Amino acid sequence: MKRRAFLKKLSILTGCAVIGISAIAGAVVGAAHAEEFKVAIVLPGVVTDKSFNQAGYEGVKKASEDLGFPMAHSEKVPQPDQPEALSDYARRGYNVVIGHGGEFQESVNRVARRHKDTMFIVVNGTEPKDNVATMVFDMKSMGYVIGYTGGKLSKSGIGGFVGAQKIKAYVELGEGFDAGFKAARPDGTAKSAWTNDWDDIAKGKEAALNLISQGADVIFPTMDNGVIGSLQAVKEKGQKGFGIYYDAVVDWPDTVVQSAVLDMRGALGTILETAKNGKLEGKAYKYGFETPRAFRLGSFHDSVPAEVQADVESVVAKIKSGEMTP
Amino acid sequence: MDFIFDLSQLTDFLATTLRLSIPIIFAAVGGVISEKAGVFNISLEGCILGGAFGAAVGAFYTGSPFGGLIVAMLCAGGAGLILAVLGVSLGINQIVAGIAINILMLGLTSFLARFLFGGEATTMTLVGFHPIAIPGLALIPVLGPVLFNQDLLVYMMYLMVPAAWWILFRTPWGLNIRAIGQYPRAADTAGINVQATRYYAVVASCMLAGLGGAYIVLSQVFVFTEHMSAGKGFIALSALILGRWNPVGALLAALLFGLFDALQLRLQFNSPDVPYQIFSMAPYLASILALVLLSGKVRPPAAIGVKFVRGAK
Amino acid sequence: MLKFVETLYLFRSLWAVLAALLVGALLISMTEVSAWTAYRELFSGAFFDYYGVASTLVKMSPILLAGLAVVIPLRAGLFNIGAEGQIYIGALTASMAALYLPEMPAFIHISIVVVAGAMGGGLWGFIPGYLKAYHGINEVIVTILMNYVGINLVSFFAGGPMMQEGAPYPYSPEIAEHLWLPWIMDGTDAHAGVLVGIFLAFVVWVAMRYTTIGFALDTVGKNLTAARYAGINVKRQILVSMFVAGAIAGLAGTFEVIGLKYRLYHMFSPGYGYDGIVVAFLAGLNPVLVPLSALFLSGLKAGAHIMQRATGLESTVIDAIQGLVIIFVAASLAFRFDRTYWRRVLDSRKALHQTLEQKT
Repeated sequence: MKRRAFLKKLSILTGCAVIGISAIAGAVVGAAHAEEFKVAIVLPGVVTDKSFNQAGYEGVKKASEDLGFPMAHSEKVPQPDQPEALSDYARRGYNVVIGHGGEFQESVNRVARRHKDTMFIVVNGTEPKDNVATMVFDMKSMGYVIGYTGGKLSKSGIGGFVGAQKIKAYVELGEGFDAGFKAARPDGTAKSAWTNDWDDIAKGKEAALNLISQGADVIFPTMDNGVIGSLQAVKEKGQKGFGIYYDAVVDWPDTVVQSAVLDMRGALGTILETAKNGKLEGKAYKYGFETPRAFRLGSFHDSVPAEVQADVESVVAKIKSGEMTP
Repeated sequence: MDFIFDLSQLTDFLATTLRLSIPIIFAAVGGVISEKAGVFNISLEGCILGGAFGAAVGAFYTGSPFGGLIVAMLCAGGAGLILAVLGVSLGINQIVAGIAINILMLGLTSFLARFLFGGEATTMTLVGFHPIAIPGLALIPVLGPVLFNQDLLVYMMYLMVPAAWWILFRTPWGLNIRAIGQYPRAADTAGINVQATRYYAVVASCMLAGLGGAYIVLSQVFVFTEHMSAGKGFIALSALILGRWNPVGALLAALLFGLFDALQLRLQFNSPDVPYQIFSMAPYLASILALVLLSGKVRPPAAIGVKFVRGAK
Repeated sequence: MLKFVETLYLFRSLWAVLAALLVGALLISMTEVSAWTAYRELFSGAFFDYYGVASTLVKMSPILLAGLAVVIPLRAGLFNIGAEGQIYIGALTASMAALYLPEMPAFIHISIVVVAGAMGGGLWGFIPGYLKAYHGINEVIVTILMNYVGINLVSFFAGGPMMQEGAPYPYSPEIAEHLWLPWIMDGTDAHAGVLVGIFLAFVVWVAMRYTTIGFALDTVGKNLTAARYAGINVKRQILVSMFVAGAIAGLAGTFEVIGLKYRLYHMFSPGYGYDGIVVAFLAGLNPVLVPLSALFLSGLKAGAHIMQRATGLESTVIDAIQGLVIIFVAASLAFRFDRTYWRRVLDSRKALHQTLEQKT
């Protein structure tokens, strides 16, 4: 009896395996490696976050439409699955594989060793190498200008910066914010909060509420999906906030006063054009206020006084000309 | 830690605690009802998520938070119905059934949310409930704004917990539920319809958990995001154990979990050098310790997880 | 005819899987991708593509071991929901042994690392076993709670004392290369952990079937009183089965570290321990079938990613389909072939047929 039961189970499970065979009848195994240029991007979060991930996804999409090459993307790839996703695209013949975020550096290093013919790009990366290019944004300057604007607008003299994880790029952004805030308000202080979560909206909201309850009245949230929560808290409490990655004044009319536009469309457009022409090198590609296609301020909200706007513009001009380095 | 000595900051801290506890309270009390009836409800997590999704869909299409509330309960109740069919009628292991429902809800809600809302899913702000201050009571320092300047769902919770306790322990209906969880055969002999009562209990349990999910969407963040339940259902399972299978106990335990969570967030925000994991872990350690100290005195319902077959030996 | 109906019942899991895939096809057909293409990519990717098979095997290693960690105590009637936590603690103790022990010959070091991982997981299984045996505390609840403690402990170590300096994410430094498990497929991440898993499944099967250990466990699971009369030390059976289960889950965590990631990551397991429960039930609690059901489930998971990359279809739909497969298969197992019922049905049908024929 026991033996029969065993055979029974065995037959059931082989049946399950057989499904695979029937399902692929006629399928061509192993994609042919085409010679055409194609690009894949691996993203840590969802492409609908109106922040870092959406900016990256739309950047590659725009470039693929403008320059006419096929693209693919994987979203919500957790840290442990990064190497598999990256190397799978490399094997499928994608010429350029983008790891979207500094947290991809370690995985890209590992995968790039095995796929010498593929170019990898790490956005906010730290270690460019033979076939690894990095895209570096001058986060410190951006943070400085946003902090400066915040300092000029703050009534309480306390500014708030919300980050997710202490990745190098965001630490610099926060330091810049701090420096800029103090430059505009020598008697003020800038507080920061780290949520350890890029996407948790409720956490983003709690972090901002926490800063506001400590007196902060200008908040600069820099997570992914979590930004929405922070801006909601800012809106509910009637304070001022800053957008990031795109011009957020449109979406948050009475809350956001200015945005740190790190324009992935522009940045990725430029770098992918270079790649398509076969000129991409394993070095750090830098973006700052001098490359406005990729890096600039958004639009001011109408409530921002003209003299503050002018002050901020002059700071940007100074950074651009190299007269000042935050 | 100096926020404890500043009245306005203390108020904010306690408000955070309550906000983080509400979904857990709804789910934990729901879990008590189901487990009292002898059915493990591991799918609380999926029910919260279903409730959150339903709330978003309902609020989006009807333009009213009440529409959201109804759809939330329907979605979560549907998940409960699946659990009841699998775990009560078919007698499939309730834990396996619960895990399957969690996986299903995670995939289904994420998929359908993208399908229905598209790229706008995270930026559109849904209609939701807004705080209503109770005249007089809301003026009490610290506790007033925390407890009595809340929205409808929180006031519903204030009523729901005593009601659940009263129904479970003071009405014949509650007696039936407890009887079929302890000794279904005797209950059956006494003329109680074991299967039907278990169905009601499981569906009600999931609907309550769904209200917890609705709270996250309609009162807290006003958007739906994928996997926004983030393990709250499992925390509710622990809370109901720490609360000794009693709605009031579950409430207190859930508040404790919320307090630790709020503390943990504060630490993460303000002093990143203190390992916040210690506070994330504390409620679970407390639950295990409570089980050890209370062992022998408090036991889960005896017939939990066991399929009841009428007339079988 | 009776034979035919019985055969239909035999393959009920298969029908269930097909039914689940069919419902899934409805979901997929809501998008622009055709269900046929999606499934073709999924299954050909997971089972018939060199690199796809490799990523299936990568996932199969922990899922298979977690499945065994659920099967063993369940034979004695104990529900180990704690494989997830045991995986984490196993990985923690193994990486500690790998990173902090003084230099020694590779062979000795790797043995110590593996034993440390198994012991860590074993301890995490032993605690709920002890509480069950000596305090009568429900092991379902304790193992669930201990998962969170384990996950948070690893988060603490990977992001605190063990974290690599300057790392952008909580993870430990890399372990020495001589401790890495060998690869079993060239140019891929597939490592020897899965082979150890299959071997262990066989060992457990033999032990369950041909030794008194299996008999003792089954007796405890089926009839506690009979077990006591037969002179079986029930408490010891509980302790041993939970320890062994924890140790096997601990190995799953160990192999994730020394076979795949070479570092201790925080949150490295996406719920393999819970997958183990599903796998154990799909295999009908038979250890020798666990590898097959683990292969199926890991193929589904690996294939989902491959399908997403190939077709651009949302991978979320695969989560839903996985849930459907488990629900349908679990439901199908509730329908047992009832010989007397079907004989009666078929007989009455025959009788009806005969009377009808006589009339005409």
